[in-house]
Amino acid sequence: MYRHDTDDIEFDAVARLVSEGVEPISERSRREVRARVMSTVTRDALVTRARRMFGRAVAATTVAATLVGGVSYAAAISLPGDALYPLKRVSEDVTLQVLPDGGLQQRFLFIIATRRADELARMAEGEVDDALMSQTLEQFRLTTNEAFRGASLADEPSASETRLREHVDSAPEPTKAQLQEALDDAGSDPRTPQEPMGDMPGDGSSGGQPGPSDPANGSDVGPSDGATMAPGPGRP
Amino acid sequence: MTDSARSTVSADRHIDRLVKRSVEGDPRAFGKLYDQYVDRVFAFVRGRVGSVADAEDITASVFLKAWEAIGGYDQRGLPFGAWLFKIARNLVIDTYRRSGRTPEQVSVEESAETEAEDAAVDEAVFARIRAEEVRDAMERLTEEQRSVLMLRFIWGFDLRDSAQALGKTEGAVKALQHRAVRSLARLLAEENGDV
Repeated sequence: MYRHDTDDIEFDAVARLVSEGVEPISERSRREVRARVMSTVTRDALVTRARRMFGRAVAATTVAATLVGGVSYAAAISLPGDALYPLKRVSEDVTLQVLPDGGLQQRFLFIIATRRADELARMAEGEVDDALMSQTLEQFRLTTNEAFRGASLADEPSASETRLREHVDSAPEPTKAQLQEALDDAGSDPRTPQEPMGDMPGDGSSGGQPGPSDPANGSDVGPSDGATMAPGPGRP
Repeated sequence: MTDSARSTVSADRHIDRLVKRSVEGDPRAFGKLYDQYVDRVFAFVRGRVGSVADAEDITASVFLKAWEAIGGYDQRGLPFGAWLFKIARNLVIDTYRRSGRTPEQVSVEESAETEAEDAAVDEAVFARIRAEEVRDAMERLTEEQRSVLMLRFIWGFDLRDSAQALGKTEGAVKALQHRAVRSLARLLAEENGDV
């Protein structure tokens, strides 16, 4: 079937002539070339589909992992500004939400505060980004406030709290001084009754929800800023 | 709209659907595009290379290159057939540029393999000779003249699609076609001793 603009006898005659000089593809060639082409095409399509499925599977696994408090090592050691850092923060927030109010949650808040202290210390060792340092210090401050607010006069300092103090103590200067000041402000002796602080910035939620995930604290690493659960390999 | 025109529009829509699905990564749709275009691609390539094996290799390469690039193909731009033709043309040119060879003439023995098995011996011989004459004559055309004859008479492109495939205006393609046909007729006449 030829397409031409007019019912042109000459056109048809030329078409027949030209087609005489054209060698058609044999069935054997057609099949062999098709097999060659389709083996690559099919394989590529499978690889692409597997990547998409793997990407979703990684995301699903990551969500599940955060619910039990675990993340990949890479995410666990990430610092503010790193690609996986939002995942680390989301993991913390999700864990806090599933923990019951009380001692368990309080201990986890100390763990989070220790992580912020560790991040500050490691950030201070490298190229200092003042904005990120300020934000992280503020997160530390808010978390320690929240953690100490849950402390009871009758309680001995928990292992988590002790570990936090040790971390602050071993931090390099001037980070150590900044962390210590924040700890002092939060109440270095938890057995000292605290005046009600009232609403703290970003602390408007009930149920012990910590400040770090609050969008009002200006953090740009919380889940509320649209950070995704996992970048995942092969994600479009 | 005539039945023929309706059929053409329907065929175009079918191709468009296959192209859309191929762009989305559907291998089965791309396989159907292969089935639609392989005759034309092979015909174009076969006329430029010396052996069936070379033609098979280049034809396969055309479709593999098309598959690699189809993710970026824009259906609002060049028609798919024209896009495929450009890939084929560039590949043939690149192949010869790399090898330093020039396109070889198709041998009579190889062309004989594709003749109809049930043709009478005399008819088969005459047809073979005729095919050889036409191929010889087409080989002596310029590359652009050969391409326009392929596009218009084998690929069935209209002037607009041919122009897009060749990167020329419709007027230029029309003139090129006219010269190609006249040259082909003259060359065939020379071979037959009519001139």
